[in-house]
Amino acid sequence: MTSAKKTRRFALPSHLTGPLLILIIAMIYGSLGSEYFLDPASIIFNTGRYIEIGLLALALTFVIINGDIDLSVASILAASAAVMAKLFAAGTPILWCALAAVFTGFILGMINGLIVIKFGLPSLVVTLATLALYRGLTQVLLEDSVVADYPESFVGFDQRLVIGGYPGFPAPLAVFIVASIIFYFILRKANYGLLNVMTGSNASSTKFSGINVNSVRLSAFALSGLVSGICAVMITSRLGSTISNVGLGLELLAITVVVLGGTDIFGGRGTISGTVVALLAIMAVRESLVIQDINGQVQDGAIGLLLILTVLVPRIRSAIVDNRNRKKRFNEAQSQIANH
Amino acid sequence: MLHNINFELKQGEIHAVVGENGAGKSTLVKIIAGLVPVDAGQVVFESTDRTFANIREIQNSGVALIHQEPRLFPDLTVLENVSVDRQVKEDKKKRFSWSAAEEETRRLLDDLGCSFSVHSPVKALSVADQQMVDMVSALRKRLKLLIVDEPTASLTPTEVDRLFITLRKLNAQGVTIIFIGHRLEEVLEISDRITILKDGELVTVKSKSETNEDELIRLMVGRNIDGTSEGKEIGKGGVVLRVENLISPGFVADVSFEVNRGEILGIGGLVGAGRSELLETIFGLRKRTGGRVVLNQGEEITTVHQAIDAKVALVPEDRAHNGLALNRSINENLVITNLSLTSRRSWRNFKRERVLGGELIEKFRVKLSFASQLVRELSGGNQQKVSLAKWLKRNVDILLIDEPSRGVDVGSKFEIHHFLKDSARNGMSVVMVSSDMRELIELSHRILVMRNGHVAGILTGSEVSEEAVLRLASGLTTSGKTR
Amino acid sequence: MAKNSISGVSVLLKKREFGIFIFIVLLLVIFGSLEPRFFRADNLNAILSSVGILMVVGAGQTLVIVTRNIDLSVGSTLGFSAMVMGMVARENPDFPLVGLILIALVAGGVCGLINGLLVSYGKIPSIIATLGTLAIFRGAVFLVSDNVQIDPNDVPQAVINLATTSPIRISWLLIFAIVSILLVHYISSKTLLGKRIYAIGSNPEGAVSRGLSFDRITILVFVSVGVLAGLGGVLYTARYATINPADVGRGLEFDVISAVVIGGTNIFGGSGTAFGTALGCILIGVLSNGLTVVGVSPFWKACATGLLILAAVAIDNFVRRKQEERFLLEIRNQRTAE
Repeated sequence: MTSAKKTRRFALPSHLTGPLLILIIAMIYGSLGSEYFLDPASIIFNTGRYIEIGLLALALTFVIINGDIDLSVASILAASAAVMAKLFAAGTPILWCALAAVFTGFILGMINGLIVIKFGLPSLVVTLATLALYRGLTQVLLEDSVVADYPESFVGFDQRLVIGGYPGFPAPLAVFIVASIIFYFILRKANYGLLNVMTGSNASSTKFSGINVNSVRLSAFALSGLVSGICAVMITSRLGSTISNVGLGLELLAITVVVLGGTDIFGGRGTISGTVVALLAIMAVRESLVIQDINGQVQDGAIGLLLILTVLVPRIRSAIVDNRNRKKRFNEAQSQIANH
Repeated sequence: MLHNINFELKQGEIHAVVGENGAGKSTLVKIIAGLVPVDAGQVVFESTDRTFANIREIQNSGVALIHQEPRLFPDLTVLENVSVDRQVKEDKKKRFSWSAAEEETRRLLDDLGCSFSVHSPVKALSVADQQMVDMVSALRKRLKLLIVDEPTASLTPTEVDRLFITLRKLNAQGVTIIFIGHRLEEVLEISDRITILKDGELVTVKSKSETNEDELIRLMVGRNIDGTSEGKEIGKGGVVLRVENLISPGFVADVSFEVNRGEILGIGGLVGAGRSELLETIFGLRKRTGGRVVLNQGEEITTVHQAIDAKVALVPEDRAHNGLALNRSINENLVITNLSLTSRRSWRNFKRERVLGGELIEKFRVKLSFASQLVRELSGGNQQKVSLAKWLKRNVDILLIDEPSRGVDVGSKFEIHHFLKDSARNGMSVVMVSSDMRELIELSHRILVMRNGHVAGILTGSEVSEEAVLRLASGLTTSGKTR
Repeated sequence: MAKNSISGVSVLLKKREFGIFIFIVLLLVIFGSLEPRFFRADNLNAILSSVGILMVVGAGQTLVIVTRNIDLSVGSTLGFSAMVMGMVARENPDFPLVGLILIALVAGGVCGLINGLLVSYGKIPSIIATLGTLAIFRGAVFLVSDNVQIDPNDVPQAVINLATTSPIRISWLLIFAIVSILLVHYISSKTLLGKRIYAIGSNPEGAVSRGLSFDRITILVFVSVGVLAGLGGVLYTARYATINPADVGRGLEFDVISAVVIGGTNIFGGSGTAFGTALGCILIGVLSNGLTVVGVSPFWKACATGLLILAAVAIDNFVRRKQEERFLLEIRNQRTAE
């Protein structure tokens, strides 16, 4: 194996090929359906709602790489939004409400982590429970009410432009880009990133290496909660109102984004770039289908199909390769024996 | 692994296979069982060649292999475990009935002298009882040859007696038995003939009446290993580690010893003696209920964190589970313990990591294709080197290492040994668990032999010999300094 | 030697089911005393009806989780089966009831088969495979129905009657629910196939080395839960008489999995019973209905469910660990003593 020194300058990481392919095909398909599809302005203005999913997915990436999972992200978002709404309805200045939302998210995330670690319970089941618990909290806080009279200065975050003019650069997109860059650096360049990956790959050997695996896991849960809290503020601003079923079902989409991006659901392997490309791919697929007037449910179905294909195709390929290798080795051994 | 073995088994005998670790015993019986294909040669059992297409065929061939760790379903009951792979063809006339199966299983268990209920969940049974269940599963399929691989490793003497009674009963019913064992007194007790393997080759076959433990040990070992006391003065740095009355329930029963600076203290003993557990307890990974671990400055360590801070490192026995993250790269595995050296204020410095990795890889001569290669693609020897190297960039004062050359090729083994000796000369102290007698004797300044969680004895200087170690480990005599 | 063979675990399991039962009775007492209306026949009937569907699907999900898998797509499968059946009924008003039921079962079975193939031969982790099929099947509901919902007019009276009548005093819905539970119970406890299913979850590598047909059993388990979800679709149609492409079966998987977990099935596979799941369903039903009847805002229901899950899993975990500790200690002490 002498390819060591002669690696090509640019090699596409294998986990990106799937989502990238989907992205490209969807973009082609979409532009065939509408001439405005690739128009930067329309792209930017249609994608506001995906930013929240993207942020959730980014934080979730850490949790999943770690070897855990967090099903409660959407419920944390909802509960944080509820706290914010209640405080606002009680007269608190909007800024403090927003901060309270973020803080609530952080706390709820921490609670997830503490339950998982202190009781030694599987994160799947714990976050399944907190998915219900936090959603219940939201419902109790908000009941049937709708909180909608947020100040003008606050609402419409998704229409704010960081850079004016045409097409302009929407604030949420800026937030997402900044977040992606931060998370990318944390995963790739910070010590924490390495600890995260190694914990997910083999928690036992990482513990034997002297790393406090519990705090690694706990911080991932806390981060996930924090980001959910931030998303709560963003979504409230975008919608201009808060009701108790806010964010319902987002967790599944967030997880889909993470897995589509090549992160291993069992942990130990994953990238931020994968999550970002997967988000773009899903955005493109959905938008291109919207143009064709295809119903949202069917869109989700298409994404589900793509998810399965993305996971299936590499496995089929490696299964074929394995089989071929096995046959080769078997034949070699047979001929050896025959020659004795 | 095995070279040119001609092995013959007589119908109706109990035949033991002995040899040191790595001699090839397990491989031989796996081949006989049909689980591992041969590269050359033939295995013939009752005039039929033993090559199989699938597991079902292996199971129906009348040969069963019982491992050390029984392959059972913990959540199912004994009866269910035994019946679960029952094939339709077996009872072609009758349909399956639980009561019939229960009767049959009960009968088989009674035959083996087991009194536990067939409705007990397997996870509630002791290892000895689980082995019995394992055997009953095999017996159901009209067994002709039973192979037991180290069955006594986790058994109490009473349980061993019961096992032997069972084996003799089976033998009386016509089952031929192959028995792999490490404890020679047991081997001599149970078997008719004994095959001795060494380094993958057959040494000789002896019948029970014409040999004894001493001879067996000599045949297994067959080398004159010198190098006991030459060039091995223990450094004059004084005591760096003192273990006092350490107790960890079930594995370590009141162990005390001292280690000097620059010394390599070997820990010998049979499987199940508690050697790995001793290291884990010292390092803080395993709970202790009594005793202390004191370092040279007088500081006591109880947790892993304290141990690492105090420059103690543990290279565990099972590198796949505890030593390495197999699906990550070599560099990542090397860096994980050295982040304080390469990183700056919690940010990684890739250049320094590459340099560190390169240094360690070169120093330990890890053979790889590229540094970002995944650890699981390395050979066992190279994996072990990584598992060791990751600790040794920092100054480690005390290295606890468990089976340094398990699953390691000869070349890497040599390199690892060289490294250990070198480091000791430079002042590092090593506590080394090893089942490889040669390694133990060549490297150690002194050898502490464990037996059943206790210190059986400590051998120094001229006392050290393979035979002496085996004798202490087997509880034969109490030569050497007993504590 | 006999003292080591504690049949402790199975005793404990029964204790656990008994514990849930006691808890249910406790709730009944509390709710009943706070609000006597609770015990009225029609109220109790309502409880049982609402959990009936849950029990049918839960019976299947129990087996899935026992094999160390999970099926997130049961809600979508239920919806798909219901929709297919509903559409056939609408086009053919005289179609026999049995035929309609069969159609739903087959539709569910096909969904289950897809899942089974993806997990066994495709080697896709079940959480991902069923995450995907959850969306795919739901999309299929939409496509198949062209976003036209099934109205009560389209549903044959025979189907609707399933939820209310039967030759005996309880409704067919309840009968189906009880039969499903009993069937799964029978398979798990009396048949070899059932034992093999548990074996696969208890020790997958051991199962392979003992020659059990891993793939086939996995497929069978997923097909079973699919068929049961199909049956659930029939019962859903019977109960609500409306099949809305967007709503039908949405969120069902969460309720089902909660009930299974509360009922004592281990998420890591190998253990769990149909009766436990049934009790879990009843507990959820009683709690939810009770809270409403007593006047507590229905918004507390989700909280209560979440807390129940946590409590159930935490208790199970605690008990398991204590047992293991005690057992290991006993053995090891024996060893060093000799």
